[in-house]
Amino acid sequence: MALPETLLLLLLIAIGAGFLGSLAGLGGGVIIVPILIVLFHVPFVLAVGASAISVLATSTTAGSAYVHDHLTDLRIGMFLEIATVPGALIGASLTIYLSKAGLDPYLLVALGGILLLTIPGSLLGHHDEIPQGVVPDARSRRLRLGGAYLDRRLRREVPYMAARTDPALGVMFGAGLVAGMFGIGSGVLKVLALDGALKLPMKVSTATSNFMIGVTAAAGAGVLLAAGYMNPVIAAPVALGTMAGAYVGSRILPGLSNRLVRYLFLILMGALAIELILRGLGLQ
Amino acid sequence: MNPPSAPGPATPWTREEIPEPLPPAAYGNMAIVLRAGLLAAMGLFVAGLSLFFLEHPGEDLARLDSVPYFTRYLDPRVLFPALAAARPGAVLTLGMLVLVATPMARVATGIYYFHRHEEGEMTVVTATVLALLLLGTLVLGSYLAHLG
Repeated sequence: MALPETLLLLLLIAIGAGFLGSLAGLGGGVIIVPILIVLFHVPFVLAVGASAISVLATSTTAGSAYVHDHLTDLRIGMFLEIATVPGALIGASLTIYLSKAGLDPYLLVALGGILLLTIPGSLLGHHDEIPQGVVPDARSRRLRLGGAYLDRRLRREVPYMAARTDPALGVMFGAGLVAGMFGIGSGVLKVLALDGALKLPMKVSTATSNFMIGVTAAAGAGVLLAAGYMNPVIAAPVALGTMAGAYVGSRILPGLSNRLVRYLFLILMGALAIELILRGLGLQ
Repeated sequence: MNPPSAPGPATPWTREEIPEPLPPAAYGNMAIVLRAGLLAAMGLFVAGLSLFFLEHPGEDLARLDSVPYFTRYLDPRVLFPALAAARPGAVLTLGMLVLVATPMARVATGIYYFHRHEEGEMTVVTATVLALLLLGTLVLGSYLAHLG
């Protein structure tokens, strides 16, 4: 297939991935890498680079709206980036190193495994919208990791404080590592830290996670770009497509019941994950 | 000298512990930085892809995977003359650089506002995040590019 047709197809698939990812609440990044590898035969490390750029573009689009609504907690986001950014730098470096060493099959199996492990986490809902009885640890109190936002539905101001910072930093390092290695947002892990360890209100958790996904993706994408593992002819249409799809998805989301879409998306993700594992094991 | 701070008591917090929010301008300016960076990057992507199609109508995607076609544009001495000549690879590479730099610019905006808000520890935390981001792109990436 000639390049214009290939890239047009890539753009259309990226629009679909961004659209479905947005409706499913997972982002399109989780299926972009497998699609590029399976359908377009793009080398692993270049697929990771293109996906990181698309995650960066999509989270920047949503992030500008969240920041504007004052829902993003900049203190907590910046504090946790101390863990995610080194994780992403190490993750992207590992992918480059392993790819140079000819270990792509292991990376395929690892990504497939990560995607399969993401599925149960994606089916779990958030915790209570506004957690009660939160006990901040010493670091949270010292850095004053808390804030307040105006909840339009509840029609009142909701104050909050972060609870346990040590486990949150640990999970965030892992989230950064996975994001850097595989070019995905790893929002499931980030929400695990923000919801489970810090016990933030759901709206703050979602907005802050989005803020962090952008900064973490920039860390991984920066390493891949500077090391020469980013092909803009692949990454640009993927970024344009996922962003456009995610934008349309977010516009029609309020009018849809997204449970069915989420299940379909997870089935597609599971099938792609199994395909990656089979390829990595040389069974495909 | 003050004694080292003891661990905080394991009691629920009070409203007084909630910090004052950053001024609305901080959020507004961060949103502007994000939107400006995103629009610039997307504009460069569309322009770069259009130029690329005009120059390379029969190019094969697989060949682009194996050739370090774009790496040369990471050198500013090559990038800027190529941009002046409207080279598609240079335009696309600039779009990538702008997109990667956009969250970094937001972090830099955070440093400015935490400093103005006299939050010393948060200024240091945010500056460390920016330093790590720059270190990754400018030092680590270049090192990995030259790794055998």
